[in-house]
Amino acid sequence: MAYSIAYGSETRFEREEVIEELKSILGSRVSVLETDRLLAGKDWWPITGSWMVKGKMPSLPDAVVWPESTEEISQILKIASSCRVPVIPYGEGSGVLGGVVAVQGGIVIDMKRMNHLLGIDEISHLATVETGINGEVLERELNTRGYTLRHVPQSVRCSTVGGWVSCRAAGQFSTKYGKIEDMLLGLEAVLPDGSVYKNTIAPRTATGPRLDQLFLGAEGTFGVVTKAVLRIWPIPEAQRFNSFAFPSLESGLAAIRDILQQNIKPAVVRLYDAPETGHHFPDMPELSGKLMLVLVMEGIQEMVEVENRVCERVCQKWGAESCGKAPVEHWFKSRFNVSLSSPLIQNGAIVDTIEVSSTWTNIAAVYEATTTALKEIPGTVLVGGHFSHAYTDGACLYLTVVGVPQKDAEEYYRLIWDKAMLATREAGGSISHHHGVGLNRGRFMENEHGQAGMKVLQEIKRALDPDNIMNPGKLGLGREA
Amino acid sequence: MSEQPLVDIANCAICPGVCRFDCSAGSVLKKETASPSGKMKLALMLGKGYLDESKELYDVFYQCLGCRSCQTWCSFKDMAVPDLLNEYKIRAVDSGLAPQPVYKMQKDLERWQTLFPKEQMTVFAAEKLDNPDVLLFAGCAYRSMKPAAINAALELLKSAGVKVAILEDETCCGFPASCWGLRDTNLKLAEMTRDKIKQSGANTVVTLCPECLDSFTRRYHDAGIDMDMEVIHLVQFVERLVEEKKLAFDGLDLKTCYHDPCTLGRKAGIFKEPRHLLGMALEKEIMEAVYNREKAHCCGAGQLFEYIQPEAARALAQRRVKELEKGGAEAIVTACAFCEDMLGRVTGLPVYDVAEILWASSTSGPGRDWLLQKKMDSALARDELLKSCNIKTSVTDGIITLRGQAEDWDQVVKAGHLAGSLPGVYSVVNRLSVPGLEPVKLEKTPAENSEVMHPAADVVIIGAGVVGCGIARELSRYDLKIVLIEKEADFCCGTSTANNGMIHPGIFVEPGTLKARLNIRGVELYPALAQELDFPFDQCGLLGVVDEPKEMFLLDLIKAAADYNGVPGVEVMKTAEGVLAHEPNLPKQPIGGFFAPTCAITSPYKVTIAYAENAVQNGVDIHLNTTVTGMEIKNGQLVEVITDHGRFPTRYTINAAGLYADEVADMTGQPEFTIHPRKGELLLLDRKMNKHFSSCAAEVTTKIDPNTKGGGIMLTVDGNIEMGPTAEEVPDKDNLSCSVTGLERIKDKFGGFLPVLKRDDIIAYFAGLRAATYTEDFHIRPSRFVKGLINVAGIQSPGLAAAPAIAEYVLGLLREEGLELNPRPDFNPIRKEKTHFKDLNNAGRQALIESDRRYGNVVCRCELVTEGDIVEALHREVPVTTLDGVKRRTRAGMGRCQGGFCTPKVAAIMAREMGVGVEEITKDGTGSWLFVPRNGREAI
Repeated sequence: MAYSIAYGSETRFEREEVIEELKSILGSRVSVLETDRLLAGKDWWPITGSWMVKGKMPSLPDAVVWPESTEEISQILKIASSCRVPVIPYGEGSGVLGGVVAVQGGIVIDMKRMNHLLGIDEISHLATVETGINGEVLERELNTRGYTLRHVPQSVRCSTVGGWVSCRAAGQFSTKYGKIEDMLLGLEAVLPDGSVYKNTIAPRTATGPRLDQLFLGAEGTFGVVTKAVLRIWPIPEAQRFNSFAFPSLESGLAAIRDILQQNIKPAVVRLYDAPETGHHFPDMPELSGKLMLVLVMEGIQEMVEVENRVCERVCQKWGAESCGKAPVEHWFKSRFNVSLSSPLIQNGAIVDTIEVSSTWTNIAAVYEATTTALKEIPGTVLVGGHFSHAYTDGACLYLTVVGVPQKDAEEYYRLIWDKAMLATREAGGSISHHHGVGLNRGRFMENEHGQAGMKVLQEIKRALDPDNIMNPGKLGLGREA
Repeated sequence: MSEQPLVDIANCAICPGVCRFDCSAGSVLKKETASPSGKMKLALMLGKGYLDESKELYDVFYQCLGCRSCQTWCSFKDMAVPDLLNEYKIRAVDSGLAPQPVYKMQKDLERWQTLFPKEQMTVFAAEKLDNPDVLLFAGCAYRSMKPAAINAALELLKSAGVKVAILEDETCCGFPASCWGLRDTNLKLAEMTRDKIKQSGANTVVTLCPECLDSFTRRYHDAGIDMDMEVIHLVQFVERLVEEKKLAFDGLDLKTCYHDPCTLGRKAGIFKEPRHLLGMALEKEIMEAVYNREKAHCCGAGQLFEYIQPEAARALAQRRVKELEKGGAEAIVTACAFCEDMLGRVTGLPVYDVAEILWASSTSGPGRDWLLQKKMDSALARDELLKSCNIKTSVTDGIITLRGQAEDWDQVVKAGHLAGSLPGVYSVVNRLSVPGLEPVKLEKTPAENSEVMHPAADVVIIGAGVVGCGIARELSRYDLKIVLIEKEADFCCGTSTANNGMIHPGIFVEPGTLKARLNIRGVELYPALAQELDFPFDQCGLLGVVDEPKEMFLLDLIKAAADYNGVPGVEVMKTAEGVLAHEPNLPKQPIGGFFAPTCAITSPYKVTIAYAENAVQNGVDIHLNTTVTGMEIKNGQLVEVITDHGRFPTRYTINAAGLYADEVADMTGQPEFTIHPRKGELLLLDRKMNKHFSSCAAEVTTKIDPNTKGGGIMLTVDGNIEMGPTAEEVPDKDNLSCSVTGLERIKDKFGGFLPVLKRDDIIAYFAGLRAATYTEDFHIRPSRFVKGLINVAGIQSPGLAAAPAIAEYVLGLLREEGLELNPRPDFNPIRKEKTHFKDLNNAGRQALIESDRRYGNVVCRCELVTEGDIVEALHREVPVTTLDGVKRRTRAGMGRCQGGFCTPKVAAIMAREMGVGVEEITKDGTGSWLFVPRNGREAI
């Protein structure tokens, strides 16, 4: 009983020829082994986890390569361009939307060998890295030198800088330190024709649109991002945990808005809705029906004290009870625990997370609309959400949905996404805050961007990648999933 | 395959892989297939039947070091990828598709029944004990790669009174078979080993190897083999012995970093015990790598990964070593022979097993000597110059002895210094030889009257340099019979005569040394001593000059060192004006400097002669031209000093033999230290250059030239300026040669102070030898090997400055050794310098000539020395018999013409006064005749 393949890869190029050419550049760092090809086309798109248990794999690329330099990548892309071979840049596969699935086969460029911290500018507080570096490895290297990047997505231990840039990632500490686009000062990218783009490293420029930002969130459809220059910080001298329980969603959201709009920036601001509060803090039954706000303040001692005082004042104003640091410590310890999904998936359940964003004006409505829509789908057993990132003007809503499909799992899965995305759009939100598009969200892209917007995106793609070799089928560009 | 492992495998396969960043295999192989969840995805598909068996698939399952880093980060409880892979490796082996090394291992294990060939395994004489308390099971890795640790563990346990048995030879516990899927081989080895252990009769097995521990405690259980006895790791057992107060530790001086072996740490959970024990066994707190305990990185040796991926294993070892070395540890300590072997191959640091450290430090262990030996061996192995030499080190009670061959003298000295610089070293005996080089040693003239028995002395002092004479004079205060023996024809013929006469203030001497302490004390004693003994002494001060802004920071360091050493009155100037106020004629504009007012100058030979003359005044018996040839030792007590002029019975002996002090100390039969001569060359300038300086001057700089040691512009009490000295290691104790290189070196380094200096302003160029030991500190200690002997050796700079303090210190040692010091009522501390014609005013000179007309005959015109002065010197209480002796006392021949004019005249006067022919007159004793008789020397 062999495994089956979703999407089926249709090789439309002279496979042997291309592989020989690749070997002439990379030697043994080219593989056509089934083992390598099976894993390189996979990320953490939950539905593919369900497939794997049942013996279905998303798709297999024709080859996997492990370049060690920008120059090698440039040569690979030249070969790919001339032979019209699809190319998929690959980090560590923690994406959750099928962004690396080789829907048309091709070459997966595994970036893991380009994993060096190339240098730290201690005067400007910048780190230059190769994009294949693992997030935790980078953070550890910075820490030993007294610095921190403070980009802490839950996937920090299993994702790369290249993945963060390509998916417009956001981390847990982002309210203070910003998202990846706030950290990125510049990059190097290899374009499909093999040419290498680099922007001038400066804090800000007014030289036309920022071209480096074209690659932010491009999900590998425009080129391969090979290097990144990131803002780094000295390890904060003080850190303070605090938490508050709110009686209602409205009061909780109002408090966060109030804090942010006073320009107070705790590093972590997370408000859990009532179901998630119950789920994440099972040892605190007194919280039943309430909403937990978790705050982490960081930086110089004086600043931390001030931020903490303001937060306490604001939360009291909005009727919250102070819960102290214990719940935050619990969150801090368990924040990388991912043991929930695997057993559920093995038992046939569908589990996914959906993150959307909206303004303060609309965010409560988005919450209402999406949670209601998801709950209405037959088979849904759990819907919870938390507001994981806050801004002066809005927030990110992070939904978790668990369902036991009553009929077809695929259909149930498609339904939860259709309903959630539609509800979000109708309530005035954006379909993604930080996970990106991949394969799974492609069909909602026109709704998000409008026809004109999609045309702009398609024209840019055509200009940069006329033969559509770069990660085809993603970002709603091309074939739909 | 049962369902549960597949559930676990699926849990891992579906997880995004939050452990992957720390996976040892993944982080070096950098492939998706090597990541923990990658391996598990493939295992799941194989387990579920979605994938066919293949070689490429099974290769993946062997890309695991069993380090269990994944377990540390796992969201699931008690899950580790290596455990989940076991079943798949068995399938791999059974299918015939496992990697090739696996089948080779299978063959080897079944053939040898050990992991390594039999000839590599250390065999122990099995101790036949009826009822052993424990059986020490060493394991293949220890037997093959670290037998020293097995011995250490055995000694350690025995010293605690444990009846410990060890098998003559052991079989493999099965670990390699078990972790590589060799199920049947594992079972065979396990049963065999279990039976062997059972036969020993012990109820407890103590393991050294974490893998054996894991086999006996877990793997056997999993394979259904029952050990039915207590199995415990050495550190756990030792911990128990310590609790029961059966073991205690002295504390070794070693800065170590502890590496957690994966199997001992993450698998067996033993983190605390090794740290606790090492904490007791080492004086310094053990250092921790940035990633340690549950987060420790694997050394690369895990699950014999090297056999499968040698380069990746080495890369892991290099990464780990970097982490372990980072904090400046002197050694790595761990508790697994596989780790020790792997780390040892990529680090320059020594890698110890915890058993070695515990035994060495235990109260009955070899302690510091072991550590010194190890430190020396590793220092030699790391030294670029020496690593190719075959140098054998042995250590006894802190004395490091070096034997073997070096290629040249530099290597000999380098090795000696390496040994001497190790913390905790007592002294260095350097017996390294260089082919074709036979260093000049003490010339033992044939004993003419060696059987003459001299009257018994309380103290015999060997060597009449400033140290010996100083000790003699200080001892002459007491009611003692003192004999001073000197092989030369005069006092002050060796190191004491050829030096720059500086009384160092004590700024540059290394804080905390005996040198520093006695230097400072000597400076305190000198002014009063100069008064009593009437020798010239001038506290002219020392000016240090900084020329470059980047060197200014040195001034603060100098001030700090001065304060630490207790040097009074040091003034730091951070402006040019401050410096120029002291020395307005500096040729170059300084930017800062310091002034040490207690720096003084004296005449080294005048101090020595004054000491000697005052000693003689107070009854010290002096024997010149007398060479020590041996010692009579009875019951460990030095009872007679044997010389070429008879035997001197004595209660105490002071070895102040300078350059030859090591050879005298060797006469006890047990060498205690080695002297290595370090030559210093000095330039003596015409007196007219004197106008340029009012104090001694030195450049303050970070530019250290190893061939000039300190030094600078030195004033002398006679009005000449000296420049230098150089510092050059030489093999021969009579090498007083001067070289052009040395001269140029001095001019280069110090000439900046005197740009006006011309070649013909240099009136003499001479050399002296420092009598240094390899520890480069004074070695003033009672002999380790005989009672009654005190070695006063290694007296190099600032020996002259320290001399009065050395005498004081030696008296203290003698008192501690039981010599009663009863003051003599008739001791006369005052010695007057004889009248010198030159020093008088005209009226005085007139009067002197009138009293003795020989004072009217000027013999040395440069220094204004008269026949009267010379005759006086020749008839002192200790008569002068050599031209140099006359020179040292009268300065005849020390002037600009350097004796060109006066030498024949002085010789003639000497011949007349001594009643011998002029051909008998020597420069400095036998053999150094000044004239050759008409018919040749044999004719006499």
